[in-house]
Amino acid sequence: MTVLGKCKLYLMTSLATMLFIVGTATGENQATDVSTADTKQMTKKPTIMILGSTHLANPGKDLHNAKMDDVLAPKRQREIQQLVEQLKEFKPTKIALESDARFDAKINANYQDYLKGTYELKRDESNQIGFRLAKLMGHSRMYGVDDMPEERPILGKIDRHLIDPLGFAEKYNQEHLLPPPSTEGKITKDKDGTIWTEPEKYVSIIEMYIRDNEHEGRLAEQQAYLRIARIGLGDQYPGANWLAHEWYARNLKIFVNLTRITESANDRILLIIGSGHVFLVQQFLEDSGDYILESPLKYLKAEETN
Amino acid sequence: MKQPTKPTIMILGSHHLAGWDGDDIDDMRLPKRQRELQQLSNQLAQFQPTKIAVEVDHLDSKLQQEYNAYLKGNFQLDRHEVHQVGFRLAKQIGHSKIYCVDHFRSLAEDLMIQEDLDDDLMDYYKFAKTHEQEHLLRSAQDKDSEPTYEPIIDMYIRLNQPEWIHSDHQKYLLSARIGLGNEYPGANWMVYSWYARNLKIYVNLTRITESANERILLIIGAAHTFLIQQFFEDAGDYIIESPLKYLKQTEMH
Repeated sequence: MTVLGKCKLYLMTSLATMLFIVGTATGENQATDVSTADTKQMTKKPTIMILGSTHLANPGKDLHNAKMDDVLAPKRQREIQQLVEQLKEFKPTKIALESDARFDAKINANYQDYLKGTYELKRDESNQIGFRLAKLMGHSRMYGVDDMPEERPILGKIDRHLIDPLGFAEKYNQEHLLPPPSTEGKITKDKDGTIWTEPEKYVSIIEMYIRDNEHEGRLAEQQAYLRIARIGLGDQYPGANWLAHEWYARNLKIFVNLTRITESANDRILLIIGSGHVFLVQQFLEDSGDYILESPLKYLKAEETN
Repeated sequence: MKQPTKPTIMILGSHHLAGWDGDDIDDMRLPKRQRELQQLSNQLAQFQPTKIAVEVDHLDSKLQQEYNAYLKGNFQLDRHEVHQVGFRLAKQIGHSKIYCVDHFRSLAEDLMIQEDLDDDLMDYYKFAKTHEQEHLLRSAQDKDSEPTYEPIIDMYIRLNQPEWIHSDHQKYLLSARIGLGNEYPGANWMVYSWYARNLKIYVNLTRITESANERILLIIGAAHTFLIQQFFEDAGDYIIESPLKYLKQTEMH
């Protein structure tokens, strides 16, 4: 990086601090003066509901993965149909998926074919729940809100060992800061190190989604992330670097993408996403003060009393 | 007194008392301000901190030397809060050490990025100006009202109200939205310059914690309070106290 570039970075940081100082030096706190010009004119706020999900198609992209049996089996299909019926009560105006916007054209081509009856749903939750529900609601398109670009201009330039909490923890005896292995279910490990947890008894789709969306589990996961952040010593912060530059960055951009697809206060957006994302995306949305958040538990538990 | 099960943290969100460019805060070394600062120190002493942490980079070695000199009585306090609030209180309650917990370096220094980064990746200000997104910038509030004298303690009470802290953070989440399509200058700045720094301040505070008896007071720019406190709240490993419990409004004479 050039000296000029470095100066600009410093400048930007101090600029932000300065703006804050000017804001505070003049007295009155204006708690309401935080909305955009657009939202100022709204009498109500748009609504978002996040449905945390197990990855139904077993992509095995995470460190710990829940193993799912074949959701195309007739019994699972009936359960998913039931789930979709219950989620319909939320009356979503848009369905957002864990997919980068660069795949929108492809996904929407598939969705159009699905509407015409010429596309067979894949195993993943975007297809199984997203497409089904969107069709029931008469939506004309799906929205990808994930941030998974081909190239990551900043992250790609970071020296990998500075951002590797796992390697650091093993080398410096900080394994106690890593999440403990799951104690429930059968654990298996692939040759490439991917860890799978298989449930010991049959769990219905609805039960699974209730479990994936309970607050306690999501909070426990965030606490695990904040412990990983502590991995490091002295001037080394592999844990915090990983958490900020990988995890926060991606989830903050998902939040930003949700704000970008919001068109009016009447929007009711359903986001279907890996349950690991729920805590942060929801926290950004709540803290922003610009949305009403609904919990999917209200809809998932609706049938239990019948 | 029963033994605490978790360490305690209290964050005192502060104005930068030495001022910035264009900021017309008066001189903290004036006798009236000195009396107010002593009163603030007396009130904060009630928290009985075991360690005082300040917004200075953890690699800094100068600050401790200054504090040592101050303890010996041969150091003149500067105008800023690290000296005026931190040093004063630490000496008053007999601490021998001041803890620097900030992590303030450029991205290139911090992450050892050798190649050039495109500055536009994070220049949300320029992006907002050139793409009609000024409404997403953290705006300076209007200076139309007559400046009135605000006693130091009243100022700290104002800056540490939950509503003030939250609305300040909302401005950051608003500017995170600056960008279009696959461009995210707002979110990039927020992560690389703001989240990363605050997360490392949180990590540094956990690193200086030695036991459950610890009562750490962090004195820091008020814009940091929301995130650092949120990390502590979510992690669940600390008891969090609000400075509002100790600050008593100044009676006007």
